[in-house]
Amino acid sequence: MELTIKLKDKTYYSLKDFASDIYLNTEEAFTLVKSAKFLKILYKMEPILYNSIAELLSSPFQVDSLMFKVQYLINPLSSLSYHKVIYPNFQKLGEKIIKMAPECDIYLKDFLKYHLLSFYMKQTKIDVKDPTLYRKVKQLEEEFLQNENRAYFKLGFLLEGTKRIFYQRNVFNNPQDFLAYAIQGVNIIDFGKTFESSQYLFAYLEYLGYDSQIKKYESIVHLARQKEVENDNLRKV
Amino acid sequence: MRNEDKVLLMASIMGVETSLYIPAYIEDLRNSQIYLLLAKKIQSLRKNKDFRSVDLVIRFEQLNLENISTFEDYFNSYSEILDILNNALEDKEINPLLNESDDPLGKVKILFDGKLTTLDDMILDERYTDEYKISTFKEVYLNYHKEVKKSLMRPFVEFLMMEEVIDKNIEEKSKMTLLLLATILANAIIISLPLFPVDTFRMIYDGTLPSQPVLIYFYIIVGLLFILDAIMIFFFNVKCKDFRFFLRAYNGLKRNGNLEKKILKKEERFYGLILSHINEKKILTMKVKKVSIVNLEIKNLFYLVSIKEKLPYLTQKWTISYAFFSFNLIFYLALGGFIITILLFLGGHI
Repeated sequence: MELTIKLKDKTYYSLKDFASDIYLNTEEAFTLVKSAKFLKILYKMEPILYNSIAELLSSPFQVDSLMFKVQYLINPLSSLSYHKVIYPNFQKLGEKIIKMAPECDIYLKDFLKYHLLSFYMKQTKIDVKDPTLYRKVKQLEEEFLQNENRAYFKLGFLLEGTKRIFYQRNVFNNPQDFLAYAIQGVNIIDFGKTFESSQYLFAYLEYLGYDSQIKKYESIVHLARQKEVENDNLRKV
Repeated sequence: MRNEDKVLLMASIMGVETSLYIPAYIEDLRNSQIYLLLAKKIQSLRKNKDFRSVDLVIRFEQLNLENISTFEDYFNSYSEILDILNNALEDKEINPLLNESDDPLGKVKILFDGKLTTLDDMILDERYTDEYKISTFKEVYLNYHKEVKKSLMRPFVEFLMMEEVIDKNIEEKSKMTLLLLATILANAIIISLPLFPVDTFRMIYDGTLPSQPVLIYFYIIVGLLFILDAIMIFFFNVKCKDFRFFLRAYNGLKRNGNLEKKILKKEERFYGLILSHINEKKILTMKVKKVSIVNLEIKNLFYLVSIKEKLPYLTQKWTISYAFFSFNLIFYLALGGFIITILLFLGGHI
């Protein structure tokens, strides 16, 4: 059966080719995929694929994440891509996450938020080739529910893989060097503004296994804060 | 806590060198409103004899801001300062279990039916059933119990950790004693030189040695030695006094067994006493201090904790310095004396 799919100004003659470019025009692709005409054709051509896509459409969804999954259901061999950006490998994705820090990319957060990365790993059989990585990504998806930013940056460090930390165009090989830089002069003011809210450093420390140091910090700060609040309340009276 | 404070704290925890910033932080803390307010509060609490006040004063005195070397220590001290201040600011009704007042127990106020009422008034109030009074008092009693536990928890923990401190001090005290005895023995040898079958020694001691300079020189050494010994013995006793009191108090507490159980028993007796007076509608005429858990043992406990920091490790340093000094002094003086004696002998003066 001949197939012609028109998306924006491009014409595709196979589902796989169409799927590879979904990331470039997500909204238009979504309109097409959910149309009765497309679904009818898909049902005739690829009934199993039709069932998978129909199941996705029948549950609550977010358009970008849905179309990401559709892309890899149709063509698991297409490069990792999302929101008009291709990531040639996981390391590049990780690097992008941590080089943007302490800012978070809301689209890259979707990889954990909507379980896109683990879905991709399953479609491409990376879950079998590298079960440790797959397990860690699944764990981060759980952690994302408790602390979004920390899980997000941990993903960045996990995928980047070199145990370095980037900040203001500098690269540091360990947390001590980084902190020695961060406490100098005006750096401390800039870094201090987003230190807790971004969770960037905490993600790095947790990734490297400094859990006890994080716990120590949290307990000291928590106690001081608690006493400050009590004191404020007492002095109001 | 400001953002910069948190960054420095994290850096300190991670082992980054931050000690340069500490002096400025300590200075700011000393000049801060909370510290100044606390110092003022402590001044007025010193006049009170109740347990809570005494405990707060001790905690304040144990703050050692000069020894802070890390940001962990700094913020722990900061939280401690706030906690002491918060406790000092809280308006609390007295806890009879922690108070040694001579006032009648019946005059102690509690919160009953939304307002402050004395125990006697509660007992005699006919508008309420005994069950209601008992259930209200149970809540009050549980708060008393919690406060007792909170007041004593820290001293108890410090008491349990004291064994190591005691052992170390006993060991040091034994070494000090040996050194003292060795010094005294050295003195004794010099003093007993006349018993040696050497004519020169005998002549030195009975003053018949022809050489005056040697005689005078010898008397100076002996005199100095006695003075040094006297100073040594005096300071040894003075310095060890604290440690002796400490050891007596500590051993007393250890010998008397499970203090926690005793306190609990006394609390239960107090509870039973109030319940029985509620049931019999009798007022409480006994003094507060009769039901108080504050006794000699508790006072010893707080005493131990308050002087623990002052335990005389110094004595050991001081004693060893003295011992080395005096042995060296004797040796060099003796050597000097010996050389002079030889020179005089060779010069034909003796």
